[in-house]
Amino acid sequence: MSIRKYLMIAGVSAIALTSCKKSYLDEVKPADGSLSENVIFGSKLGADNAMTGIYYLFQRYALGQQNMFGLKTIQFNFDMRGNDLISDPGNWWLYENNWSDNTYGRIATASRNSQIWNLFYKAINNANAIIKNVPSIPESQAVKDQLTAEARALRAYSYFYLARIYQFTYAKDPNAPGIPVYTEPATSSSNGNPRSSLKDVYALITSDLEYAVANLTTTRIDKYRVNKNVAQGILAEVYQELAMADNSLWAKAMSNAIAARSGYPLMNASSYASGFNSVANGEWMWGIQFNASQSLSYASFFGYIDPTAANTRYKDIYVNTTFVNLFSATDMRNLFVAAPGQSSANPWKKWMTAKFKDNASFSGDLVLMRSAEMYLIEAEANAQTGLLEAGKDALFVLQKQRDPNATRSTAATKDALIKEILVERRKELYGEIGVEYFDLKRYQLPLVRDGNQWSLLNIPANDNRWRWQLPQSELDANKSLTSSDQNPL
Amino acid sequence: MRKLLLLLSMCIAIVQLQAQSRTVTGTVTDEKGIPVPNATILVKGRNIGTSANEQGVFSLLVPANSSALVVSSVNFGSQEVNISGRSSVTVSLSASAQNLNEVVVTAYGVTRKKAFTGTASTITNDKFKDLQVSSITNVLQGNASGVLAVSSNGQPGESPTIRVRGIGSVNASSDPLIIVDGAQYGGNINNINPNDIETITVLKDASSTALYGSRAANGVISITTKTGKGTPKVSLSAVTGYSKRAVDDYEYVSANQLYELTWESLRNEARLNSSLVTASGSTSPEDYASRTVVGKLVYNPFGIAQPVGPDGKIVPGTQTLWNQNWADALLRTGVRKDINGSISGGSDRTRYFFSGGYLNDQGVAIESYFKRYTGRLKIDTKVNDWLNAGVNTSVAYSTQNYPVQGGSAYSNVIGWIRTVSSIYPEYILDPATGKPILDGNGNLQYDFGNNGPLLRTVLTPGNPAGTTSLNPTYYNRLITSANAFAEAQIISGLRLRSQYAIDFNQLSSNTYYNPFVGDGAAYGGRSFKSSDNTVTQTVTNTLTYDKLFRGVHHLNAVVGQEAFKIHEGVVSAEARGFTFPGVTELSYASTPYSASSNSYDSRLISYFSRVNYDYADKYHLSLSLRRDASTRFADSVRWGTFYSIGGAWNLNRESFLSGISQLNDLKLRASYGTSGNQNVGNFPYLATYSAGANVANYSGSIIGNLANGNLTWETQKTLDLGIDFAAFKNRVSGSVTYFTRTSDKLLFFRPLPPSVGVSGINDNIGTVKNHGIEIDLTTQNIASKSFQWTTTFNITHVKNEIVTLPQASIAGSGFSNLIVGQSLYNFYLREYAGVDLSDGRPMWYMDQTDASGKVTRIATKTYSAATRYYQGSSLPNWTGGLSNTFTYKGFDLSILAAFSIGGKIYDADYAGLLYGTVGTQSGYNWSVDILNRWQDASHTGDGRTPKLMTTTDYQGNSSSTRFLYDASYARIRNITLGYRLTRGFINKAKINGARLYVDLQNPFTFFGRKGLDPESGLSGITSNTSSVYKTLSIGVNFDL
Repeated sequence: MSIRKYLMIAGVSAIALTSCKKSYLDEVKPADGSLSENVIFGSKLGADNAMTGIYYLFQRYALGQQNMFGLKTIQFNFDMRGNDLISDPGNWWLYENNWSDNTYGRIATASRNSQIWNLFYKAINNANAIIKNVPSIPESQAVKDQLTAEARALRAYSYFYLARIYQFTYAKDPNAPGIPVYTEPATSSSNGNPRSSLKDVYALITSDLEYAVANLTTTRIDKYRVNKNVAQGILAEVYQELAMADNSLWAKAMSNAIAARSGYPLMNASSYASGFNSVANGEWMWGIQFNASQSLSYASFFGYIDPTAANTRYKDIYVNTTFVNLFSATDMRNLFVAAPGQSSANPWKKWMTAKFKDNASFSGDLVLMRSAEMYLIEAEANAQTGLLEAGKDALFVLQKQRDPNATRSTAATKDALIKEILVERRKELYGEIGVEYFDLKRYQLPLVRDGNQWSLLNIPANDNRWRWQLPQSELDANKSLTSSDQNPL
Repeated sequence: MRKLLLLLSMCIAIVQLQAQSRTVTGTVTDEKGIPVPNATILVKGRNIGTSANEQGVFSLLVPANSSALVVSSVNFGSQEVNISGRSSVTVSLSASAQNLNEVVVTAYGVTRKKAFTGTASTITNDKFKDLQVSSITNVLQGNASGVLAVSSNGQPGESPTIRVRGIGSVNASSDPLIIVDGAQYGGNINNINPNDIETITVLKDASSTALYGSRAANGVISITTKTGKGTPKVSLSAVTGYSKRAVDDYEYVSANQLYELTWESLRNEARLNSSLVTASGSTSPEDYASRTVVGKLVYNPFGIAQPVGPDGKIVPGTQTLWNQNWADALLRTGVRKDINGSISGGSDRTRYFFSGGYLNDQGVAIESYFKRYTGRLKIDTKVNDWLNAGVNTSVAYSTQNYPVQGGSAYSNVIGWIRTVSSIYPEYILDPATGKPILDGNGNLQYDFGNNGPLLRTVLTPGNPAGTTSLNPTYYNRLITSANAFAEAQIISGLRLRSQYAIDFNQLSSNTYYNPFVGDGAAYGGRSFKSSDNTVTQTVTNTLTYDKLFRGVHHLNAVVGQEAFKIHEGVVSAEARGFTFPGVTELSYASTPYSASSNSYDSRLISYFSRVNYDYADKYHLSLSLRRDASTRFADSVRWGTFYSIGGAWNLNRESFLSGISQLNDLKLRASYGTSGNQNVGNFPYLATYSAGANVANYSGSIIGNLANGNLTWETQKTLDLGIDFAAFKNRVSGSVTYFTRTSDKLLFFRPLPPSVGVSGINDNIGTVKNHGIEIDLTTQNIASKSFQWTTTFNITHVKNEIVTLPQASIAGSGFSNLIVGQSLYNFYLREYAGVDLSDGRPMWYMDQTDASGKVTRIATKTYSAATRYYQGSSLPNWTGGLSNTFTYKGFDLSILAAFSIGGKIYDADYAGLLYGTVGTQSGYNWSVDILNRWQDASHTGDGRTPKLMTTTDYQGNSSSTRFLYDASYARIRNITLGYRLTRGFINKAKINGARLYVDLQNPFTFFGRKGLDPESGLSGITSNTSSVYKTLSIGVNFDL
């Protein structure tokens, strides 16, 4: 009996002790979708993977509310702050439309504000990691330079948005405090940098983009990636902003705009009416791509603006009558449709636009850049440098293509021509890049609402409301900032 | 090294083996011979014990050389029984309890309350056997001091949030560790059948939790399942209950009032903006409002074009064609059925318990239910004179239909009632006549807001009355647990026990949106399935030595080792494009849409030891030490060391107190120790990229986590000082405990400036302190032979305070803002200053600093300019319970009340019901309190409700103290009236016992706010969730 007892106790002990090996703890590895940094930067494919991650942030980085999904909703947030589009006062985008100082707005505690700040800074950090790690991947120098160039272009694109949102336009005061600048990826000891002056921020932006233009080629994997054309396009936009302070820079804005659009001819009427939902459109230089499984569903931009969408969508974006009236009947861009449910109780429900229509799987691509804008930059650069006729020519190339009955501008003065160009920019680009908002800021003009807007705002030029506050979470955690660094309410 | 020690001790053990053990069975009765249920039986001088069943029967394996048992029970004195040469005894107890002889289930053993140096609350089956709860943790509220159990939802099968002694962690989980029969439970707590449970013990202080040290920082809830004893017994029970909301819903405006109020908002807007009048061709703001109000609301239940006259009133004589009551359409009386059976018994060698249960618990929200099927087999046997072995297996399958009951989704049935006003009907009606428009087959058609003649302005398209049954949301859980042990007596007093426990927990969920109507229509229907499989395994080996030296020195020592691992695998997929109704399987869909899988692993290795020593049952000392290694921390820092020390002094055994005969027991106790927390995700210390950041068909990844190789255990330090007492023949007994619980090196997601591109990093930083007092009191008010009345009362005060933080201020969840000195759950809100009576606009306070730096508080009408202030916490200051039990002959009556004092609640649902800007929410539902609005300078309303507008938004509904209320409340949790059938009847029916009872759950709630249920989750912010139910049940128990 006692032998049996020994054996059983020994057996139990043996089973018990087998679990004590050190490997018991070491054999556990992450399998939840995370990857280590050295796997990512072991090859070009890995670096491409990390690069795609940045575009993924543009596609869908979300924070706070349902209408805060990705770069498109940031851009559209600015579109809604202009005079041309109107939201239903009881549905998504009403607070953006009304410039409300709540979670959808510019105040320090707003989710919208953090969405903007976080999205671009996450893109910058991911770009910085690529810029830092690419030199060590086992590839040819040309391949590495190209990867670095693309990451730098994305970094510049992000800083360009931040600089324009968190301070007045460069021309008002180049020495004004801009935003914190980082050129190294975050580590556990990152404590936050101070606000750099706009001058310093734009110095980094232009050097990044000049490098990108020099090292990128016009080929790419697909249209969601930045190639040489896109880098030139961004650079043209940057010089357009800076040239408001330094007239000599219009030449660079123009040359980059002309080079950028090469290979991307203006689309025809049927393309224009096809819904702005596919990078297959030949005029699109750059767009955010989706596949069917990446549909943003209810949060999708199309779900708000597309009047032909299924009845499950919000369809709550209307167009101001004063804006609709700017389009001639023969203009291919005159895609306005009468809004359903019109009544004297809801005067804003008059027009909707069919410019943006989702595809069948609710996963339409989103446009980021196209040639028309480059023609308009060319026209504006000419006008601004006194070359009125050249400006009118560039403008007319676009106008004539869009409307067979268009007539060439007869503007007698530079200011009159610029005014026409700014109107043409709204007509061409509304709903795409926040064009009206950023043009008003760039020209230091007030917003004066009219027509059937339900929120008849009048925001003076360079009012504090044009300048977003730094997010409270930034002030709380950034050891280089104090409350005196905050933009005033 | 540890291996060596363990082997060595085993070798010593093997050399010295000798002793034997035997089984003693018995029955415990009172002086009249009526069985005393649940009595405690301990081997004299040992920490070996059991408890009797409801019939007073017990069976206990005792060391061969034991000579006596000590038997005790609540309300009875303890009794020593000689067992020398006897294997069966009958014990007759006399009234008046030796309260401190109750047993406490501690880590890796049991102890007597008298010898216990720590703090624990034990709830026996007696206390919860009649409670109509689906989840066992629901019994904690009001029954256990130091425990906060907060329900946030009325969905059947959902468990409340449990916090033991406040909240100790910020980013790591604050959930207590759940132990079932000695092993960490890996399943969902709602799948344990409460009928299978003997006791629930909440271990609170360091000395009692230290042996679970690595995971015990948030307290331990130790559940012991029933064990068979004595003669075979068959028990059957059945109960049926009917449920509705415990508190009535908010009161809503009628269709007429909604129209008149909307008219007023239009008039107010037009008075401010005269262009509205001219643009619409109206003659006055009043005329404008009368002309446009129907266009604003679209649905017109009055059958005439301008139902509101220029006086703002419904035109006299107008008929209201419909006035929808959405609560009637979306809520119901829930029916609950719970049927259980068990067979248990034991011989001197083998004890067994097996049970089966069926529960069908319908919720009040339509279609919601929780069905559970459970089975358990627990058997242990004495293999020979030195070896015991046993197994406890259970299987539970539950299926839960969980329609959305919270948040802003259109399908939220509760949100719908709060949002959609009575002018919008459930079915499509003819606007001219109010009669239903039938479909081709003559059936009623649900109105989704866009499928009838009118386009609804509210939550279109949707109608949960129509979609809830078409869109099932299932959670099916299969949980099997097996727990096997073998225990060898190596020498007298030295036992080696090995236990292996495995839980398999499968959660299959299916979310479905039908292709015909509602949310899924745009996609041709969507079905999302997920399968989440978790396997938890624990191996525990303990060596226990228990010996009494020279009659007074009692030593009990435990050394042990434990290995724990958990593996979770999740697979999920979605398909779209469904053709047929009623099928949710993905194979019926036209398009596979998405698929993903992930797995998660975590492991622990632990070594632990504990020594308990007492001298003559007068002085008690308890020491413990534990080392744990976790895979959640880097190799160099994964070991944590936790310890505790506890002492108790039974003062009444001292000679200087022996003269006081009224004093039956007096014990002072103190303990101090540390425990750990590692609940922060599986690899929080690694630098990672997150895959899946794909664009179109190109794969991508983004920076996820930053590396922190120094990340290690969060540590909790707990100090307890307590006194236990019993007096007046044990008619009064209780305890008072002061505690402090300090969490240090918090596992904190330290915020980084968002501009660095990463929101934060896992770090050990920050300190949170919880301190307070717990008081338990039991009095036996009347103890005559035929009538007994016992009162138990407990009350707990906890203060939660942040002591250090990595930065001055961190935005917390909800409205909270973390700063030193505040609670983790504070309200950082603007303070409402009421309405400006001259213009009807809302105001808030703001601090204005003048040139000299002096701050004055002024009122402002600009919401964003108002200052935010700390406005208290959602955590109550005092919580507790009061229960009274009466027995008279065969009748028993018990009443349990729970209360909560202090703490705030933010009623976001009510805020939604007082929306003042109609243009943004036209046709949305209103509380009747909106009738107290400001109308004009001579009709200023209640001074808190601003004037109504259409598009001009004064932000009166933005978060502020306007909607912050005191959350103090009291609730009668339970009233049970039972009747134990007379012996005569029982004998005639040839059964052993029968009891009938009626139970009222949550029948009364005492709370200052109407419509709001005070139990609305820990954060204290309402979110259109379903709420706690009141239930009337009738039940019967038979013992065959």
